[in-house]
Amino acid sequence: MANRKIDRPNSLDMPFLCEIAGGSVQLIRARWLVGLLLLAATAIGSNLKGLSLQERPLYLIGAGILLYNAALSFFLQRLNPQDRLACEIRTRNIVLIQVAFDWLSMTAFLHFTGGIRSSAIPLILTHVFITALIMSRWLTFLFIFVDVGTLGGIALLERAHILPHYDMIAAAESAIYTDLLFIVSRLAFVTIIAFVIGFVMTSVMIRHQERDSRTFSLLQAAQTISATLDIQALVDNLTQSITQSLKAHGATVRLIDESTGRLVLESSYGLSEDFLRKSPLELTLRAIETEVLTAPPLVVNECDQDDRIQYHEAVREEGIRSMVTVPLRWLGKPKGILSVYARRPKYFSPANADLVTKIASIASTALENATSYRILQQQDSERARFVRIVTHELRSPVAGAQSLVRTMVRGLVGEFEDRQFELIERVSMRLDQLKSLIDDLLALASGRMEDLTKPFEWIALQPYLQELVDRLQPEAASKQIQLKLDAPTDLLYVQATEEGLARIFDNLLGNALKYTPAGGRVSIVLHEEQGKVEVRVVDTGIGIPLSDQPHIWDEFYRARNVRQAGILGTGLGLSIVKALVDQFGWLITAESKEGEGSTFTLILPADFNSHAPSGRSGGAEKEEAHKTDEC
Amino acid sequence: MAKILIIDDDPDIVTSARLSLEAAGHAVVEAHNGTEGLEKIKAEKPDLIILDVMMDTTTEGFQLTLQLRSPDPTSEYKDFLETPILMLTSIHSTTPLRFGPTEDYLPVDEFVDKPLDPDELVNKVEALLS
Repeated sequence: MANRKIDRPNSLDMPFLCEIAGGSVQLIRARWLVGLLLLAATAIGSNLKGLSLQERPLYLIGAGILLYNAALSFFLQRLNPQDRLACEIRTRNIVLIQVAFDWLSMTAFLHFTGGIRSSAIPLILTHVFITALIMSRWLTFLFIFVDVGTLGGIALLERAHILPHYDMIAAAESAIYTDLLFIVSRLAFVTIIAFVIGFVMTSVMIRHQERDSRTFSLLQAAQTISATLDIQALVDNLTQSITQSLKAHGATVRLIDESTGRLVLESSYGLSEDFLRKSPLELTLRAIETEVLTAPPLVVNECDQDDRIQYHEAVREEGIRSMVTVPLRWLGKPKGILSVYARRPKYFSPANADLVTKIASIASTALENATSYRILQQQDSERARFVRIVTHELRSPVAGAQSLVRTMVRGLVGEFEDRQFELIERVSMRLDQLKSLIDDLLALASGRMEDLTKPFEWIALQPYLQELVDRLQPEAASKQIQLKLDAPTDLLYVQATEEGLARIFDNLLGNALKYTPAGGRVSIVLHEEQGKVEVRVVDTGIGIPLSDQPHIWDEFYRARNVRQAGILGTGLGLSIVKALVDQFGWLITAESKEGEGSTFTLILPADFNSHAPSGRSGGAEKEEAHKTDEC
Repeated sequence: MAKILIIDDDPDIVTSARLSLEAAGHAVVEAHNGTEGLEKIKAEKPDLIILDVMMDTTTEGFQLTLQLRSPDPTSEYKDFLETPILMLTSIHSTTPLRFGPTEDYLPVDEFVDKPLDPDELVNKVEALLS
């Protein structure tokens, strides 16, 4: 049963508390009206014939209501919803103060308007109504007792002449207020009506609250489940989130192993190792599961008495009393089952079972996506493997042919006529082109092959880039290009593989030098901001035409101006860069203006100094020492 | 003038290397796999060895190198512990990286990239011999 106690600091209850605060605002508005109405009614009533009003007390009650309402309104406005704890405590205090003052003013009002004969007695029902809206059932019943008790108290005190009795309607003045039967019958009817209203209202509220909480659970589960494309993480999130949102004992996911047709336990949450061991991890499809795979959802209300349960002993030892099982289906086929276990019998109401079904359906969609994603990744990797094998096989003949041609160009097998020499040189050039194409293809394929990637390591950027700049300096000088590195002195570390890093920067700097005419400038600018490193490769080269810019990362794409200028290239360099940048989880953007130059900006997460090799080994030693202590 | 043994299973590479080295005045002996290479080393006693990384198996070149450089005093190749080795590699055109173990790991003296450049090969060979 959903609970609406206000003193439970729980994330689910927090919005509800602030709702009460919101409700209080409405109550305050209503109370202004009540106070003013009371004052006005007293003013009018005092001039009406036949009414004998206790004017002064009634005016005082009206003024009192307005006064404490003003105070409450002041405190409510100072409530800061950002500060959750303070919000909770103050909301509770304000609610209690309201209740106390309302009770006091109602008591006084009832007394001065005729006690047990008061025409204002139905006001008690209004109070019950409001209480049921914002409090739990038992608190509402408590308030009914207090309200009716107060009325009874006033009646008895008046009957015993301890309190004076005032009759509002002069003509009806009688001593009936001293008649015990009259008092009891009036109290009895008020009590019955109050309890009926209290019960019905709180039932509606409980249902509403349960639905709210289910919607919230569904949303939360959907969010958790669809947060990953990794199948294992996904089923782990599923068992955890469904157990938590249903406040159940535990949950398991079993998926059908396509090759054996068996259900294999993929994930469990909340269940003891003992239980999992006793109920075998691999099951052939039992009757219950076959049923479940076709007709969902299956609810077992009493595990002890259900012969569809196979491991009665394990279930009993785990304390499981009821369970619900629903299928996980995707691509039009049953793929597995989700089971949720509870330690109470009949825990899975139709509404709860429905929630499990809905979450299972969300999980099925997420699992379908994750499966498709995995297939795509495998295909990509296989294609890359194929390209890699092919390119390896292509390299040898090209290298052999080019080696032979170079001996000819060098004149080691005799002199050629001019025309012959020219043709051999052209062959040599084409072979060079072919080789760089093969190398680029190989690099691209390697970048996309997961099993080829080495584990990432922390690499200091500055020494690496300095070495690269030094290495390229002769080439830059021969082209009369000014090449420089602009970086902070504090070392910046990034996570990458050395090979990957080298390919990225060799390509970016290689391009910058290649496409920058004599007299130009190429620079690498490095700076760190809020845990991110920005590396910009800036050149004053020929730039990329605007219409070509969206395609620069495409394989084999070469910009118009580069082709027209007859600059050799494969159109794979930037594709290689992009593949690696994606693999490292970095970002790369390009800005360019034709004829003015290009800037490639890499954004990567980084660390200052903290991942120097010495720091890391220190940590490892500590961990090692800790382990030894334990032994 | 030195005697150079070239061990490579690619006849075109062998021919190119032979042409370049003979033009520079060296004598060239060839072998086409690791086993033949080891036999020729003992028989010909070369002054320098040019070795391909990958032959029948991807690690044949490495294994041969490790045998030649074995510190074991009873090794049958102990006479060649100091013989310079020039390794032929396939490297990426735009990066200085090598596919395979690095210089720190592999006990060879110098690397030459395929396709062979006659002048580069001769320069590196002569630097090792001097």
